[in-house]
Amino acid sequence: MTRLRDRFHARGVFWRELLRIGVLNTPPWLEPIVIGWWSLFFLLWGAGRRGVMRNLSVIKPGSTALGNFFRCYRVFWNYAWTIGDNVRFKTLRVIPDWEFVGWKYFEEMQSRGGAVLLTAHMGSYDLGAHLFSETSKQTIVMVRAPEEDPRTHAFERSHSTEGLRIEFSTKSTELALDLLHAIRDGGIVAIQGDRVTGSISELPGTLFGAPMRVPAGPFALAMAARAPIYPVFNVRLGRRRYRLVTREPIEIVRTANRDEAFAQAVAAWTSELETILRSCWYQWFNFEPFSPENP
Amino acid sequence: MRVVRDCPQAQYLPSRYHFALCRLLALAASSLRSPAPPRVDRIAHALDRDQSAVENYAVAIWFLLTLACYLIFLLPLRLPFAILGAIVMAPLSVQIAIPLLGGAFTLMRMKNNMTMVSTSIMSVMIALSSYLATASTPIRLVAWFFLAIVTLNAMAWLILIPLRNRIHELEERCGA
Repeated sequence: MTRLRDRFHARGVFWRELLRIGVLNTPPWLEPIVIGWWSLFFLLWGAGRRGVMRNLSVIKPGSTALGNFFRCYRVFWNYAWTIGDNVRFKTLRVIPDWEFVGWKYFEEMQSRGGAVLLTAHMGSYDLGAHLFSETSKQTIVMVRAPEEDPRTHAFERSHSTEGLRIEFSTKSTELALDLLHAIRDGGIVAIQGDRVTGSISELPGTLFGAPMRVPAGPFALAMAARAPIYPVFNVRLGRRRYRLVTREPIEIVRTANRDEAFAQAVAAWTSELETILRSCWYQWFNFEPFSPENP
Repeated sequence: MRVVRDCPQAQYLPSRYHFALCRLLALAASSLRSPAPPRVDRIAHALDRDQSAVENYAVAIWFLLTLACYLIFLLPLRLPFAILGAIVMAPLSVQIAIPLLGGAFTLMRMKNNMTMVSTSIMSVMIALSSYLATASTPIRLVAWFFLAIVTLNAMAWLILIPLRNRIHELEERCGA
């Protein structure tokens, strides 16, 4: 019974398999109907819906629950298109249109040799990684939290994009050394810095005036490797249309006061995150409340 | 898949549209207006025939409304209940038809399920429209409108045949 429940849970493997079948069989001109329907269906996922609505109430102070319910639908709608685009790229190699903002920082990141790319749960990392492979010879290592369901995890691993090295944040000690070597060899390490899952180390921060936790890994890695952190956001603008936003790098200076250096870097990162979320709140695919004060 | 870089005109290239009618309109639009310069640093457009958002949303809405009208007429219910039933059943029937047709074509070992599913659904709608066009109620207007669009699309396809070189020229101008 538990196995069956896990399979059909919102994070279960069944929905990943169904998405793949849908992408392979749905004519593009029927996609808006299919995605509109399934976004509505997934509003039944109580935990995810509540998580998004609580985050929205912090991002948009004074907003009503009814307003946030409709905003939540927009988040689910965007998420459905994004994961659909992701699977379409992986199975059919269909790529979207791209726009670039902050091109000089994007170029600088690729040319300098060794950097940490800090991003959020927005857009699709497979599409983003493809973009890197098109524009650069550098290797990119993506660090992410593993899927909760082991079968979903195995499914995602078996359908991962060629040329993209994915590491999971669970094996922290050996991974830290690997990533340090990757940066010193001129590679780019991409990490999602807007959510802490499991038992990974964390740093305190503030987002929209509410306390939050960010993973300590990217900041510690940047300090150890003496590499800058580039905030990069992959924003979905519309159907098969994405914008890659690269911001000014965050430098972590090694001083006697490590905590102060980390606090400054975290403040710079959360400020960038706030700026992007203020205009693109419907792109933040964080289905859990980000702040402990907003459980 | 081909990608065109830093060419705003690429947005309206006919090769980015699926249906012949839309491709013809895009070709006409490309000679009438030039898009505004982008307000971003760089752009890249994919040359894929299903890339247009306007086309795909327009066709999806038109298809769904037509199907809902047909269901209102066909459901053996009083009008308010038939409308409610059609609102639920129209998108639901699409969700049911896709895996059923897709599954059937997979079992038949056909390679391009998307094209087959698309052709099958459109064929069913054309057959249904042809039947309902003979009705004496206002549903025939919806059916005739559907058939008129399908006919216009077929005519656009014929018109586009001698214009293929012009489309290639536009693509080459964008560096494709």
